Amino acid sequence: MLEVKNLSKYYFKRIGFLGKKETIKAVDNVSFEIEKGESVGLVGETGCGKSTLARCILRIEKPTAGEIIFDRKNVFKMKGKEILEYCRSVQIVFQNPYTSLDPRLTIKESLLEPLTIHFKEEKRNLMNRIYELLKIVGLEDSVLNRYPHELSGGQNQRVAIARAISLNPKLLVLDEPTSSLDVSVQAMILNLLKEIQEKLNLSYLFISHDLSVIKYITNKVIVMYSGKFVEKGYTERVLDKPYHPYTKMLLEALPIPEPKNRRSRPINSLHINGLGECVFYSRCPYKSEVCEKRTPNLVEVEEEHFVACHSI
Amino acid sequence: MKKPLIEVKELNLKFVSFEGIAHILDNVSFKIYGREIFGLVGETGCGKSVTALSIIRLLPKNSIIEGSIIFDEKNLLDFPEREMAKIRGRQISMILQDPTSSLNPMFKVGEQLCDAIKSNQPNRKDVKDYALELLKVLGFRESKRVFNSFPNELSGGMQQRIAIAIALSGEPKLLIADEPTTALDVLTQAQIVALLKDIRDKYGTSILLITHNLGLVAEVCDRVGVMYSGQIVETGPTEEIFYNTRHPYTLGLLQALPYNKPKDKPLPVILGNLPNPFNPPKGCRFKERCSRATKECENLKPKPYLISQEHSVACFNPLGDIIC
Ligand SMILES: Nc1ncnc2c1ncn2[C@@H]1O[C@H](COP(=O)(O)OP(=O)(O)OP(=O)(O)O)[C@@H](O)[C@H]1O
Ligand SMILES: Nc1ncnc2c1ncn2[C@@H]1O[C@H](COP(=O)(O)OP(=O)(O)OP(=O)(O)O)[C@@H](O)[C@H]1O
Ligand SMILES: [Mg+2]
Ligand SMILES: [Mg+2]
Repeated sequence: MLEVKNLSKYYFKRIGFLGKKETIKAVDNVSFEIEKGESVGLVGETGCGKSTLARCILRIEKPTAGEIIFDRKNVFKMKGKEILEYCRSVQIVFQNPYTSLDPRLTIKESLLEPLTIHFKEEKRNLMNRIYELLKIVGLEDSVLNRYPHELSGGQNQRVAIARAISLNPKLLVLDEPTSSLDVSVQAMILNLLKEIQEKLNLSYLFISHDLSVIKYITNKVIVMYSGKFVEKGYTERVLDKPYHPYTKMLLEALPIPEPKNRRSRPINSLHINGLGECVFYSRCPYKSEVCEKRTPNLVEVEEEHFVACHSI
Repeated sequence: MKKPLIEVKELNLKFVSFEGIAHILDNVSFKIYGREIFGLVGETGCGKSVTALSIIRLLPKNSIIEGSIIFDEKNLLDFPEREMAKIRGRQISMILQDPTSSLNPMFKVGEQLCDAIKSNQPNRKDVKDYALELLKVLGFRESKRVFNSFPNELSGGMQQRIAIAIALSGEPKLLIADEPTTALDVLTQAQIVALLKDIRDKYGTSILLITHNLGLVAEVCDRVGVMYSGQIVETGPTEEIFYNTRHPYTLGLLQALPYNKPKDKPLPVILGNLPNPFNPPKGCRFKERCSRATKECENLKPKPYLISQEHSVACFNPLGDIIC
């Protein structure tokens, strides 16, 4: 359904007043697909390019190179009506439930806005749609006349989800939708997301750095490091049998709610050392000469399991 | 008997505003021993941060506080602000969730660290050396370069480590860490956690770790207090809390974790919301969300009682067998 082909997004930044330009490769030559009804996880640490990739998919930013194909159409060559339809088909839910809704609008106004833009219908019909949406996300009608700051984080996130699914999208991009919520609210939102995915046959691109959430909610996962994909495949297989040293590092860092299995943690995992062609060179404990000279490509190590590392 | 470093006893806190009186903390009691990492967990708004602010005495003006906080055999609540200012930063210090709010963007982090050392240890001569040493302890290899950086030149994790360095500058006996890793990603989070352990091992600092990440609690805390609606509902050694869970609310929190849960089943959730602090219910505060609630819970307030030497629970119908 969605196909991202060799996508890159570079930012150019001038260092100092007269300094030379520096290129930040926020996303660097990545490719993947999302099929209908599938949920794909995207993990990686701060600044690795997850949100940039999401913004390109949403057409908020124009990629430096590469293309995105949606339902067999090139997203950046679409015109007029096609663009409008694409924007309707692909929606996003952000991390911070308080900033993802306009604080000056009531919940009703927030929910009505996208509907009035996309559907030229009577307000009464639109209101019926809103009641239906509230039911799906498990909110009472009484929230409609309230403002975002009058609702809890979990309630706001439900509104944001209602808004995102209001236009019958096919793909929902979820950019850390639960990381600012506490465990019990997170559990409710995860349940809700699973439920509506099944009901509406949605596809998800689920961005998170919590691997236990990723494991619960996605069936495929992509591990990203410094703009590049370093490992991808079926979630179960990648997380149960990771190949890339970075994926292993992420798994080791995941706090486990089992006090009997405490592990000693490597504080060194953040130390940086040397510079090589492989993006992970500076932090890799297994680096060798090849890694300095050549960028590893993603290769299939097992069925549908791709890894970019020379040491495999 | 071990003597605790700090003992919070029957703390009651109310906020007074034009809307009325909000009952924020209700009979909160717990102890933290020397060299101990004590975790305080519970959902948003249950009163974790205000408990910390009570200890360090930085509550807003409209608060009414009762009870006692015994530190070094003295009740901190009796101290005039002048005395308390000497304790803050030197004996007890606090780091906040958002590192950017504890650093001034206009000054180099090294200067800010030196200022903190000067004010917390006025007799110290080797301020700069000490600052560089602290940066090393916090895992900065290039401590000189970091010393001369401005906050915005550092990543979130680095900023948080600077904030911790500042909090440690007075060599406090108690470090309060309010959600120190929530704004950070997994790897940085793991690093900060390792660091907290390290600090405890090296300096014997006790740590009050406030978090809603139960994974983190399992990883570093010696003992845990579970808070619900301004009350401590269960407290005990970490393994007891995780493997011999007694309060239905604690169980709810543990079950809601997605860690290793089957994908085809919804996660068990605690339905409902925290009660309104302006009008807390009679009897047990958790009863409306509790599957084990009985008539007793309706009108009577469950009092914490010991089920083993260190493990206490406030519930009329706790889980598991009760051996008395
Ligand atoms: N508009 C911009 N101009 C310049 N650089 C940018 C811009 N947006 C992002 N970047 C840089 O691109 C890189 C990727 O950023 P991005 O926000 O995509 O990371 P992320 O993976 O979403 O991180 P996080 O987990 O913190 O949200 C970072 O180095 C960032 O500083
Ligand atoms: N300055 C204040 N004035 C009035 N009420 C307040 C104030 N600060 C906190 N509260 C209330 O006190 C209660 C406890 O808040 P607190 O910040 O301690 O929660 P918390 O457990 O730290 O939550 P979180 O996990 O979201 O940080 C909440 O009901 C909150 O609304
Ligand atoms: Mg992001
Ligand atoms: Mg708090």
